[in-house]
Amino acid sequence: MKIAYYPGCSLESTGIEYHLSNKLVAKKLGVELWEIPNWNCCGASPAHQSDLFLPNALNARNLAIAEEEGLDVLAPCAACYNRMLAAVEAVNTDEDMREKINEAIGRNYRGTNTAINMVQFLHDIIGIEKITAQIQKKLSGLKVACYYGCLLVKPPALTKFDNPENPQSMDRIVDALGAETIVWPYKTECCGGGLAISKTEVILKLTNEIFSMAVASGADCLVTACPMCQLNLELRQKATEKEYNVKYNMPVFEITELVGLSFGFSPKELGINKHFVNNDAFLKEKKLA
Amino acid sequence: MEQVVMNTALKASEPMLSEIEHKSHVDVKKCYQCGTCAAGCPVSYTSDYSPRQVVKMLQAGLVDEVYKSHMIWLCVGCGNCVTRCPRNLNIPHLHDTLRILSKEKGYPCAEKNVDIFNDSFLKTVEYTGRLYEAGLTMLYNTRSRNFMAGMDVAPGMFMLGKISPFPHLIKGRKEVANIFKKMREMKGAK
Repeated sequence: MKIAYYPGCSLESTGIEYHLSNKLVAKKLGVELWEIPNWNCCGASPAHQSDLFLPNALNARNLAIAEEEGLDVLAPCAACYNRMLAAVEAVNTDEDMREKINEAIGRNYRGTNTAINMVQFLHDIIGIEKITAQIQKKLSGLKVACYYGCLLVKPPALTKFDNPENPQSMDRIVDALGAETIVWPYKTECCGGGLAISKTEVILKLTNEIFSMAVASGADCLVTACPMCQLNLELRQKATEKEYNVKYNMPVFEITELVGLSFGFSPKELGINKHFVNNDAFLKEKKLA
Repeated sequence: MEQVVMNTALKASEPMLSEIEHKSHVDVKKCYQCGTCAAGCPVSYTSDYSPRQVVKMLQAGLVDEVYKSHMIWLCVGCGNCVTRCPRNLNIPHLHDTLRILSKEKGYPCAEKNVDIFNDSFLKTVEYTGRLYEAGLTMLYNTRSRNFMAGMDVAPGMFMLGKISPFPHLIKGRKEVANIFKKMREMKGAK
């Protein structure tokens, strides 16, 4: 199986461990990730907050390159995924927009392919059975709060993926790996990613709420499928602890990091040693390193 | 807020309102003010108006006040409101449209740092094709005069080898620059 792969800017920098894990996991599952040559930034929040045409055109260029190969696009970042879907929708519903986009990108994007997120890829396309078949080490002892974040499932009219309030697909994957998933109400609450630099105090409040709920629900770690969520939750954790006078020291993993660990890859191979919240002691305690 | 005469405000705002509705595809008249959007909004607590109030103000013709409000700049686009809205109003997209129009019309921006961040981010994309983190930090910090922004976390980023001091220049830079050029042409044509 072959699928176009759009890492997005984060996966080449702050989310490098997600990139490494995706590649190892895909290879083990027999999937060829065809990285879109010379892909450009999706524009993230700044683009859709600044212009109605810009975000669609930026994403259409990447989608068009994949469409020429007849491939759908795997977008591991929830924000990129969401922006790509918006571009596919715009091209399919707005003739005028499509013409202007194609003029700007110098290609003929027809909107026949789509974007797929990482959980969707593992759960809907690969399937739990094929994942289970590759497991070498059960992740027993882990108590995981699956944190989907907002853009993976919302708005449902756009994503058409899982349930926007209580999604289950990531939980099913984590269950299959042998870890325990906890029931908690903040699965799809927002971490505030877009305001991380310009209004950091908002992030501290939102991430504090997420961590305190995860702790109260009995989790010892979080798992996400988005480099923005992962970065936000780990990078600002110390500042959050200081601001609210609490102690979390809670690691936040990407879904493919956990899948990779259970497939028998070492934390180093998966880039898990590159986290902002040091997880050495945690992984040792859980006998995963 | 200044004093406004409601009946004249509504009449005077009609052209502006129809422009907002036309561009955002959101019909604010459909809202019956249940407040579900405000209840789930993660940034309402720090804003002058909630999403519900923004829509109410548009219904009442208080377009100037909305263009100057914090909410249109604070919205993170998480989608809680549109997911739960019983009238299916795409409020994040309405906020995006309001932000874009308020800037085009030269209204004072209530959250300058958000605007500077967005602008700095897009500059790096326009010139390199991708986000250039170190460049974004330099641009944002000098333009917002927050010289120490991100400096608490920057050393860790470099130590872990996550952020490069150099940009990643893609081969399709011209194509990307062309997209920005086309956007400016379209803005100018209006």
